[in-house]
Amino acid sequence: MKLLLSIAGWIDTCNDWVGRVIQWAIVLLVVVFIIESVLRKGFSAPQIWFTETSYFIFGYYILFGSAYTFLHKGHVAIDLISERMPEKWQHMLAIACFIGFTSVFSLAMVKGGIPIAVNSWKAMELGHSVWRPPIAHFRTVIPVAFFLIFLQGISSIIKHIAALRGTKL
Amino acid sequence: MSDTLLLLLTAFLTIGSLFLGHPVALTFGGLGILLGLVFIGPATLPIAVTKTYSVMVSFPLIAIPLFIFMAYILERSGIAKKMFDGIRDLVAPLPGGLAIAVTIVCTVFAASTGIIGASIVSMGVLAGPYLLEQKYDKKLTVGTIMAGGTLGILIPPSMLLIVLGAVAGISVGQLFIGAIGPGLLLSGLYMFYIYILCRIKPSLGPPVPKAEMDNLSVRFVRGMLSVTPPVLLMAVVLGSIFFGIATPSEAGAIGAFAAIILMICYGEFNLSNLRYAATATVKTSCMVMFIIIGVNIFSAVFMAMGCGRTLGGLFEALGNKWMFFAMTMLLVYLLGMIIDWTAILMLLVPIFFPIAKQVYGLDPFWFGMLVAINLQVSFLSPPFGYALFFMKSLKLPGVTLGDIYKGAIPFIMLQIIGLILVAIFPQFVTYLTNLAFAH
Repeated sequence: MKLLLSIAGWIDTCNDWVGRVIQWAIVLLVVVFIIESVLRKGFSAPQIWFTETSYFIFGYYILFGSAYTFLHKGHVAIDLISERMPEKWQHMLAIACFIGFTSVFSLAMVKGGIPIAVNSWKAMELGHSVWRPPIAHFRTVIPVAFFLIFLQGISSIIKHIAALRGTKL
Repeated sequence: MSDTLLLLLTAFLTIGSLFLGHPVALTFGGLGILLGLVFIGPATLPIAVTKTYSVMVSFPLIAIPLFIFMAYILERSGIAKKMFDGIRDLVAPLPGGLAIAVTIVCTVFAASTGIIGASIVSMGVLAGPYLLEQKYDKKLTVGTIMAGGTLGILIPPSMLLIVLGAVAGISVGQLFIGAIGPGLLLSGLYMFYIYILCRIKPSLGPPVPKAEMDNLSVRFVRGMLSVTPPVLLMAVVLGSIFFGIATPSEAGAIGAFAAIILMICYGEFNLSNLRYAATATVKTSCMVMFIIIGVNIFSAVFMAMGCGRTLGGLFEALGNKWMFFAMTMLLVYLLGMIIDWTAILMLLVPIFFPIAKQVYGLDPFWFGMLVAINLQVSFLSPPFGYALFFMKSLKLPGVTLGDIYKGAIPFIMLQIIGLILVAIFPQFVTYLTNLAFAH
């Protein structure tokens, strides 16, 4: 149990750091938009890199921020019924949901995302715009981010098991 | 298995799963994958990945974190508090003046996160105890705060309109401009009601005695000074969309940038406040975006199973446009009490909007606005409405759950009046949009 809990702690720390870094991407997004607006409106010079750059920042932001949100229980849940159950049941239900929903979802996305990312790297896929940036890194975001979510699910399961066995966290 | 039976089973399974208390986004994602594996097969996985990728490259949705960032910067700058203090000074001598001040702040500040909870909690903490201290009626106080808080879902820049525009494939800018009329209508109805009620029964919202206040000119200047910056900010954001200078996403970035400048002007700009806003933004944005991702996958499977067609077929068979209108509103209302609004839009809009337009000839902007007002009604409705739970979680002194329920009812009536007015007079929506987008 002790080993498991230290694994959970390690996962939490890892996702916490990912979140703390990625949260600043919002400032970058604002800056990119402001630069584009000024250049386009002020100097009639729209930038070819603008649209795809904003997609990249946005995509990294929402996917890599999600495991962090999960860690800090930021995702809404309908707990009207479950919160009225005895505590033991709540833990068991949570474990069942993690296995039935979160792990199925995240592993499916990892499994489905890897071949798409691998093909993109092999072909050195480029974007469709005039700018034609490499986008294989962007295809890789989905499997990596969902793997982090899977890990976060494992960490939660460990903590619920520990709570069931009465281990102090 | 007949189509209708499959639809009913899927609906029960989905609602049952959501009530297990697991995060909505992950429940939808997991359930979508499981149903897909059963009914579609291994092709589900690449479909799910492609659907997720399509969310990451959706330009209108980029507006979501930008506006949320703007809202948190404003919140952290204490602008809502300054504004409430300023308007309070101005309207306190009126019957129900403080409740009117709450409504005005909520209207201007509806730039809030589109997360109803955030508006209600921040207004509740800010104004709730003060109104009760001034001997305002408990039911009126909580009703005003809850109704004001739910305005954030309608008044632009609201998250709901961004998601609606992105899913329905209609212009978010046009939705923003169209929502100004209905938003002001509702907020006007609330203020009118509060004023009349307190005029008739001053004990419910006693005016603050004039003797306790500065003279009018001092209060006027102070009030105006506190209201001008946030109003100006909203004017810049909406004006840039109205005059076609910026898309909503660009307006979001401009708004966030302007909010940072306001923060500097108020002397609240420092690393810890910026970090607070960035952390809150990443959590709220990912919460909203992940529901979009999860339901997007679920919805693709739902459609591939033929359930979307079955549900659409049932509504096409209604035959009459007002019957269709009433049934969709009822469905949205009932779902609004139990499921997050993001999920409702992602699921139902792709099914109902094409039918509304092609079969019944309804204007998508008008229809969308009515869906937004209707969702507000469901947020306030006892016993499940979201707003009620957030209000309860504030634990205001002496306020019982019964007070909260009873306080919500007059405002629900007002929302229904607003809904009917907008339904009968589409001009509330179309007047401004025609003005802005006629070319």
